Amino acid sequence: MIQIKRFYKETLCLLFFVNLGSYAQFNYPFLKHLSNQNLSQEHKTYLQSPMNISADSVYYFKAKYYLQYFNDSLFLDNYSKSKVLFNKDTNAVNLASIAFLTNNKKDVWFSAYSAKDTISRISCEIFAVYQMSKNANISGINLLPEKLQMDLLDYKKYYARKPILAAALSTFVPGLGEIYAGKKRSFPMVLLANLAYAAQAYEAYYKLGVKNPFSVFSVGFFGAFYFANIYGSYYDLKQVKKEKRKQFLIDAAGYYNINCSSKLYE
Amino acid sequence: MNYFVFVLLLLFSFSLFSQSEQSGLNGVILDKTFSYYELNNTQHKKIISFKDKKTVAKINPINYLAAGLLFFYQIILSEQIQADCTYEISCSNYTKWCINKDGFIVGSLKGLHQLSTCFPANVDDCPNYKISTNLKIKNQIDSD
Repeated sequence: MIQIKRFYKETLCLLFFVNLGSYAQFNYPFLKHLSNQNLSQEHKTYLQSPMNISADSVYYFKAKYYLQYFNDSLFLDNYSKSKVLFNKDTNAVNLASIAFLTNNKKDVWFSAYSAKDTISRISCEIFAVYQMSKNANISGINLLPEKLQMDLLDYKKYYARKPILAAALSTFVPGLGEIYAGKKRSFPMVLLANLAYAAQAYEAYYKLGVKNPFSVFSVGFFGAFYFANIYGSYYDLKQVKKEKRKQFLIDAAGYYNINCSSKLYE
Repeated sequence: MNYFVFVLLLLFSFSLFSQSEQSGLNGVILDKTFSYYELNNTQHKKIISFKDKKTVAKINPINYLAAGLLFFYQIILSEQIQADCTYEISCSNYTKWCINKDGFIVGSLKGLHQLSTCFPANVDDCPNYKISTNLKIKNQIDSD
């Protein structure tokens, strides 16, 4: 009898302590409904309501909320607190990677998350896209789909070009650096403008002499446009490289947006 | 010299009197009717300020000469020649912005370069995301 009483006491104590350590859970179908219907206020209120839920889950669902209504800082903050749980959700990781491809904080995301944490083919491809956007010369172009391979080759063409060479080409022939920078339509206008100003400056210098104010103005005017053409070719090629990189990332994000599931709750 | 002063005063008077048409009830009605169709491309025509700049920039007379020339061009000359830029930020505003940011030499070179490439066919050389809805080239500098 005493042993039976002791057994019941011990069982009751065990149940009491187990109950203390157990947590409630979020209502997943309800969250799915809130997400699918884009009820952001209700969604946020539900996530912020006090419940006895493990911190990991709270940050995981908050990260998904800030991914859906994209807020990069808050998403990254919540992701860092629920990394293990979030990385198991392949679809959410893919969607986050796609969103960050065209975001200013892509470096933060792709260093916080590594493709080694997941075995999803799409995650590996998106990570490869990010790495190739930073260095177009790395190998692995066959990892990408055919459409993105063409974009990468276009970006690679301009990645290897040197701005100093564009400036040097413009020194010899005004506007030639623009062709090297990929702006073929600018070449005739820049060349004609510089030739016209050079002809004006030469005529003023030849007819009026060095000390005449008009010849000084003409030579200065031509000089300003000539040096602007040299600096402009240098600056344009740097801008074109950035533009090609951004276009490659935009095309990749667009491609994966179409070919990936867009639902955070399945 | 007198003739030159007279022409200058005449040009200045155009800018003073050109904005007085829409000041009555007619103006209010026209504004309300056509406000939906207005493009939001009002450009700033203020003179460059050197208040927040270093002492070297503040005492450099060339900066004030550039600021004065650009102000004169924007207030008087551009309205007379009805200048229409291919870029979203017009060449004169872009030059002002670059002089403010990068100094007189680099700013002027950038502005002059944009001026020499400012023609409609240049739009075809730009990627799609850089072309705005009114077919002008977006020339804000990206952070990345």
